[in-house]
Amino acid sequence: MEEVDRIIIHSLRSIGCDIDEEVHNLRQFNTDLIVSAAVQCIKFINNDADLPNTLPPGMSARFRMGASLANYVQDMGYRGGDLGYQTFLYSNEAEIRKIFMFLVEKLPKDTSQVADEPMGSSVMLHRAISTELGAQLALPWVPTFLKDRGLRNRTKQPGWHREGTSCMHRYHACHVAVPRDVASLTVKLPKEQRQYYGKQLAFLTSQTQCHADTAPSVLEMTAAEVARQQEWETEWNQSGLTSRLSQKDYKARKMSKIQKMLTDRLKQDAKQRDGGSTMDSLRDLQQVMASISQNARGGTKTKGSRFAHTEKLLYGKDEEKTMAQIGAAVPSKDTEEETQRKREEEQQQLREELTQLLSQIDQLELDMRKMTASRQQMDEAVSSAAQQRQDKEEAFQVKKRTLDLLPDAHNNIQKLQGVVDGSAQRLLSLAAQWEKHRAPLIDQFRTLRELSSQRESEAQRQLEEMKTFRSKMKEVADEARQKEDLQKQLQMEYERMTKDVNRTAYTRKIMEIVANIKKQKQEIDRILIETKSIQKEINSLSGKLDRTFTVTDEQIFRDAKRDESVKKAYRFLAALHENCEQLTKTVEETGVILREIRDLEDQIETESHKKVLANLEKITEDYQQMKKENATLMAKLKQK
Amino acid sequence: MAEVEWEEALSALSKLSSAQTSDLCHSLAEQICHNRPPAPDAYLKSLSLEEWWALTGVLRNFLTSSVKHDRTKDQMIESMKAVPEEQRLVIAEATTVHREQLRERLLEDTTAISQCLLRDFDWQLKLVMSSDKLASLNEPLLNVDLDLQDGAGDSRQVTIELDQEELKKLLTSLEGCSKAVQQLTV
Repeated sequence: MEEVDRIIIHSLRSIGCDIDEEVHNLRQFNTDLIVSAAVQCIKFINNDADLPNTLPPGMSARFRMGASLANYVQDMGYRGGDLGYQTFLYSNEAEIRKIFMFLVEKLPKDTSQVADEPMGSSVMLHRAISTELGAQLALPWVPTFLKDRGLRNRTKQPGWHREGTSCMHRYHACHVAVPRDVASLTVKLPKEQRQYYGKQLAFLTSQTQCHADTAPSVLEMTAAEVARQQEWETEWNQSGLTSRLSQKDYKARKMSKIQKMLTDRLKQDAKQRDGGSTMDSLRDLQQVMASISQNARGGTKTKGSRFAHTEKLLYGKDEEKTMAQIGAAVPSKDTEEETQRKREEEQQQLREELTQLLSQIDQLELDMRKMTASRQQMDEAVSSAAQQRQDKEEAFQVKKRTLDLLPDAHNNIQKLQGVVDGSAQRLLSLAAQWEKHRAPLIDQFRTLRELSSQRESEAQRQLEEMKTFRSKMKEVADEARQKEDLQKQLQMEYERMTKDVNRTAYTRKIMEIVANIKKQKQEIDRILIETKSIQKEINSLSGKLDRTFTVTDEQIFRDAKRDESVKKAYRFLAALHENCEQLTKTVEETGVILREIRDLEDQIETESHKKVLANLEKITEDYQQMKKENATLMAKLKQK
Repeated sequence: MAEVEWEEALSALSKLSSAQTSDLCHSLAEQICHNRPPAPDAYLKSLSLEEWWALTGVLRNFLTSSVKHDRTKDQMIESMKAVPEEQRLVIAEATTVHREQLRERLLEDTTAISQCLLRDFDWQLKLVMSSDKLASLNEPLLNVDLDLQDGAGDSRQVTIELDQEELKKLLTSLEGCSKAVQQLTV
């Protein structure tokens, strides 16, 4: 019973009942505790049970609560004898034990089910965080200079963690160079490359500027590599396989495609920009043309390119100006105003000249544009005229030949007929020949086409197969990973569980109990067999007795007729038999009575356990209290 | 085609052994590729500072230009007739070794024409367990550090903190960017 009580108390505690540490068995439960525990259980089983958690003070309310508790328990299917308010309010140990056993069994098993299923990762994370934080909080504070780079070691919950920010640095990756294609034997490494790897390439740890960057750099590099591989794999699976090219070909094709696209785009862009710049180029061309024409025309004026001309123009003017200045300065002693005036005049003159020249240039440009336009027109006209001429020449040729044939018309017609016939004949023979060649070729073509389509379908099928296999492979890998995760989680869960629940103790106890029961059963069996054998012995003995008695009885009875003394003996025998029978009967009766006594003693024991007296006292007290309550209520009623 | 002027570097080159030249070429290539400057201490024993500058400038110029014009080894050797024979070979070899990486780097620099460029990023995920108002909050927050480089080559760091909603917003906008880029190129 001790064990049962412990289990009950443990499970009651686990659902949140407030049970003192000193309470070890159900006998120590008082009414309050019983009621609150029962309410807790019922609430746990049936969420919408409407019960107060503690016993109310009023007696009638208590009574009602006890009755409703009993109702709930009976609704759940309790069949362990009659149940009522008295079971909870005036408890006896055995009944309470029965009820609690029933309730504990009825408790929803979802807590254990949750443990079976994989717990949500967020729950796990939270638990991990809280344990970690708890462990860190439990440690005493330590000044920074006692920690080696912020490291703290723990003995309880063995492990370590960092404290403070003294050793933090940002996760910064930079490029690291590693030898490539060294391990594969198929790729031949150039000599200088190998030399570079052997001699000049710095070690990985010294390639980064700051030593802390080494790990991030390596991680970053590998991550990039993995990402690239994955990208390539998905692309190859999606579009690469269907293209039915080798990987190298596929890559080459893609590269050429991209390059083409780039060039197209660049060309487009260039064209768009050309739309704006054609005018410029046209103008440039016109300028050149104009300069050439100017050169041709005004050979007297300048020689050389337009650039030279303008240069000369500019410098020439400068020279003139300087000359004028010199002339003004040396020969006459003109006043300042006069020189000023002269200069202005000169400027005016020059400006006019410039505008004139500009207008001339514009005029020339216009002319030239007109000329080019007319030239184009003329060109077109010339080409069309040439075309016409050619056409006409051809027509003339034909006509001329027919005219040549005209004089000897009859003969010529016959000749022509002959030629036509001959060509028809030839055509026919050629057609026959063609037919002869064509038939086998068509047959061959058909068979080849069939073959190719077959091959195509075969390839398609294989491709499909390959795809399904790949997807299956991925699925299986995913599944395996999931299972692994689950296994890891369950492992963790299991490790965690063995620590706080004395499961093994329970199982050991259960095993012990089972062994005990087995032993007891054996004992009982043995005793039963013994009893049976004794019964058998008794039966056989009594049979024997009966038989001997009847035989003796007969003999003596026969002799008794003749002899008086024997008659006496016969009477004695009868008396003896009767007495003996009485004796055995008495013994049996004693046994029965003894058994009854034992039963009664048991009953007394159980009754004494029921605390009848105490309960009776309690009941009377409660009865008095109820009476009082009723009286006060009545008084209140009357007052009103 | 901008030819490399070897004349300024010849005097410096003549003071170095071929092994030293090879080392120098490799480290200069690494500098170009990964911004990892070479250590001048070993060379400054035999070179003056001006010579060092001239030499590194010329060599860097040579490395980039020969990768740019995609010259073969023989063409490279051909192009530096002024240099002593041994060192010619060594320099050409160093260039061929780093050809791919140099090419990549040059391409990268060429394509980095936008006003602002993301050079690197870093993130940390933090879980806020509770706040002063709520006992259990359980809100994940993401710290993102963006290393940006503007057109002039100056880099600056932008740090932002995002909750889930903001992160989603950022991710969708970035995905939109990526889609736009993809449509542009492929």
